[in-house]
This record gives sequence, structure tokens and C-alpha cells, in this order.
Amino acid sequence: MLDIISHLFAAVCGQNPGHTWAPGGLLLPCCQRCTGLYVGAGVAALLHLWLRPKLSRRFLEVHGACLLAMAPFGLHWVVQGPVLRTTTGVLFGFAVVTFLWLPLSSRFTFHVSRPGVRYYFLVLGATLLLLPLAASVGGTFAAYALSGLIGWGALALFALVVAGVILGLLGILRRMRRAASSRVPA
Amino acid sequence: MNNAKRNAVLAFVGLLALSIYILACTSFSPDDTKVLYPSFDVATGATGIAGYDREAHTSELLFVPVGYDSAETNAEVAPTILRAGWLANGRDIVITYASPKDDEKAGMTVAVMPWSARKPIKTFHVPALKDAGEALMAPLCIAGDQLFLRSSDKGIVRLDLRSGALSTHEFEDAKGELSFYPAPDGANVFYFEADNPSGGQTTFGRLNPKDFSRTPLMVVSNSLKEATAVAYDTEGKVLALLAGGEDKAALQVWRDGKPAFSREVDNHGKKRAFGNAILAPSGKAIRASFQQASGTNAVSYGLMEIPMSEALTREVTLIKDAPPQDEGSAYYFQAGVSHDGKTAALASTYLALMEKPITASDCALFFVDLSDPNWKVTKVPIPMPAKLAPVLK
Repeated sequence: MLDIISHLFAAVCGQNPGHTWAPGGLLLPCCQRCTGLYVGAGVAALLHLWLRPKLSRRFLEVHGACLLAMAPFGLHWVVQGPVLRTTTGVLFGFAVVTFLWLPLSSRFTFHVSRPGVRYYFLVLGATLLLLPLAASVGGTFAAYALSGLIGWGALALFALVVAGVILGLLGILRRMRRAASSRVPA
Repeated sequence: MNNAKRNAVLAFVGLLALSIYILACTSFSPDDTKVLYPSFDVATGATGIAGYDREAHTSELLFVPVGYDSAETNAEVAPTILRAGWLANGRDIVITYASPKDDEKAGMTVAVMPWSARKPIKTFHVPALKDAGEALMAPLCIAGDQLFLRSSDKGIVRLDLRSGALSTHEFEDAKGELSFYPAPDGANVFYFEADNPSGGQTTFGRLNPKDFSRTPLMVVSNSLKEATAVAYDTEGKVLALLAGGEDKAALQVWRDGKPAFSREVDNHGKKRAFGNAILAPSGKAIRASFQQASGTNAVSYGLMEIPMSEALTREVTLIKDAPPQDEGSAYYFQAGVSHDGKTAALASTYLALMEKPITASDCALFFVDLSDPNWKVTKVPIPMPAKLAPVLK
């Protein structure tokens, strides 16, 4: 099964074996940074669905900083090891999901909760700690569990992108219709 | 800006960042961050394969086969020639080795080992190969998960590196000797077929890795000399032949089956031989490792670029004033170039195994930054054991 997932992820990840976690001797389907990205994205998507944290200006600024932080790490301006590669991936995954979530959150009347923010960041901290730990000391079970999380994260990202594109197209159609109806003489 | 517009803009920023990230991540291929090269195991004095991590700037010895010249007490460690390459998945390494002292029909051992995962290391012994040691002078002919080796003048052996299945095939309709080379994309096999009866012609073509069928791509109208280095593109549309010589080196380029360009390169009276040649990613130049006489008592080794135009060549000398050798030693100093074409790597390990070896300070893995206007060279020392058996000729 891992071979199939690995084959699929070859399209989106360089899969550098020297930069890939191998819990229990089984190489994960993507590199350490992508593992962080997809696991982070999967966890963040669940948190947005479940906790509905309030997407305040401060909340978005923090995630914007996480997005920008990928530049020095992704471009290798900073010397980094496996843990740093993974954690920067997690932060990037959380930020991307938050930004892709924005159009959906404003579209639908979700209730938002201020305490949700606290739990959101608590789970983010736990992910930053537990993911490198599970990847470095875990056995074959950890390999399969993490591969599943990676797959879930990729699906969540894909769904958010598709939903965003559909919403964008619907918005354009509505504007075109409005413009057309405004030209019809009364 | 209202909230809906702001959210749309931020979502677009998120999507853009994700797209840039994915594009950047896939551009780093495994073999560009790790370089496999022959090295020495100081403890046994045997040659092995080491891996150099270009990001961490560290080397580690990966594989060391040790054989002996005889079964007697205190027998000398036998020399071994090794050649390593990556499987197409970029996660497994293929290492082949043979003894240069083996008989003409000796076999070759092939090892497949994972780079960083805990998986079994498999070794295969392929029997009865013609000139097994000589075959290691050319890059490993790997297509997908299969390794192709020449079994006789007109024969080939295909080894499935996953299942171990071994298939042999004899090209009874071949006009002359065949030799096999890997395509740069690691998915196909090219062949050269000498046209013995008419002489003076060599066919360059593509070999189907599944059914061994041959598709001729072009016929080169002059016979390949032994000391000719060849370079080609992934599709087999461009073929360059580079021959050394006393006064002048000659480059001939064939494109779509027709002679497209030729030029001579002045050696300034110093005989030059080429180790191997690689087509630059632009397709407008050839990069080749070389050995050049330096007076009567020394030779030098380096890397040069020959444009497929009358533009000036450029070169860098990596080893100066090495002991004199015949031009065959050029084959022991070959270049590999990263997929982006920006870095060349050359190891002088085997030059330390010559009858007149290079000095310990010249035994190194050289990186040449081809994107730097001055071709900046980085030298990574290869530790030499106290005692080496000089054997390569």
C-alpha cells in the first residue's frame, strides 16, 4: 500500500531518501517537509471543521507569518535538520489550510468560537511535538498511521482548492448575471 | 476592501504559496543532493562506494566488497573496480563490481541496496560476461528496474533488479560488435553496432528493454575509434563523438541522422585523451573529463567544455603534475553532471590504484560549479589507506 501512495506522491514531492522519515524502516511517501505540510494540513482542516476558531486579524497575521517562514527554510537559507524541516512544514500546512478555508468560512454561517482558538493552538503545538517524535522513534504502525494522515491531508487540501475554485466561479457567474440584469430596461 | 474580497485574495495567496512549494519540492531530485563515488576503506585497503551529501557536506562509506588474490595466508587484498548508479525510484542504489584480473568470461556481482530505509541488500552474481571489468568503464546501463550487461560481442543479459530474473539474448542479425549505454532519463537503452563487413560505419539506435528489438536512429559514417567518448540526448536525436589526439581533438555532432557540426580543438602540442563526455542541458556544448600530457614526465587531469560552435572552449585542471600514464588512464577519471547541469563531480580514486599512483593530496572528489563564471572547484579529500595494491593498467 505504501508503494502506491509513494507513487502518487512522486508527482508532488522530490522524495529525497536522505530527507525522508523511515519509521520502522519503512520510508514515508514524501519528504520530511512535505510530511509536515500534509499532516499539518490534515490536522488543521479537522480543527477548522470541529473548533471553528474565530479568524481574527491577529489569527490571520500569525498564519501569514507561518506562510512567509517557508521562504528561508524552503530555499535552504537556514541550516536545518529533520525536525526543523518537519515543523516548518507543519506550520506551512496550517497556514495554507487557514487561508484556503477563508472563502468557505465567510460563505457559510458557521458559528465561531473564541475558546476554539486556544484549543487550535494547543493542538498545533502538540502536532509540532508529536509528529517528529512519532516519525523518528515510531515503528511500522507509525509508518502506516502517518502515511494515512499524509493522504488525508492531501485530500483535504485538494478539497479546499476545488471548493475555493467552485466558489470563485459561482461568484463570477453571479456578478455577470447581475451586470446583465442591470442592463435590462425597466 | 470588504471581507469577501479580502478572503478571496488571501485564499489566492495560500493557493499560490502551495503551488510554489510543490513546484520547488519536486525540482530537487535525489541524485542531485547525493553523489556516489568510489572510495577506500582505510581498514581493509579495499575500494568501495561512498555517498557524499551535498547539503550536509558529509561522506559515508556505503559498500565495501573485499576479495583476495589467493587463498594463501597473508594474501593481498585484490583490487576491485566498482560502478554505482541510482535506480529510477531514486531510493535504491545499484553497485556492480568485478576484478580487473578476472578472466575474459568472468562474471560480475550486482548489489542493490536501499539508501536510507531498512530493507534487504540483494546481491546477484551474473556469470559469463565478456570483459566484465571493461564494462565498468561505461555508465551502468539501467532502464527502470532492469540492468543490461554485455554478455558477448553480440549478446546481452538483462537482470531484473526486483525479481532477480535473468534473460539473455543474442543478436544474430547484428553486423558487428554491440555496446549498450543508458539513456539520460534512466528509462531507455541505446546501442552502438559496429558494421564490420563494410567497415567504417557504426549504427546508433534505441533498444527496446522489453523485447530486445533494435530501432536504428542514425548511421555514423566513420568508425568509432576506441578512444572516442560519446554523448547523446534523451531522445537519441543528437549524438556527439569526441576523439582525443596528439595535436588536435575532434568533435563531430550528428543531429537527426545527419552530420550537423564538427570542429577541432587545439591541444597546444600536448596529447589529450577523454574519459567520458556529457551533453550540456542546453544541447549546445559537450562537457568531458580529460587527461593531457604535461611534458614527458607528467600528465594532468581536468574537465573541459567544448561548444558546438566556434566559440572558445573552457577548461579547468584538477590534478597537475601526476605521474605519466598512457591515455587509457583517462577512463579512470570520469565526470558526472547533476540533472540541472550546474555541477560536475569527478573522483580520482582509481588513479591512486595505478602502477604510478597520484599523491594522497590529489586523491579527492572534485566538484566543479559550472554555473559559476570561474568554474569554482570544491575538493573533498578521499582518505587513502597506508597500503594499496597498484594494479590498474
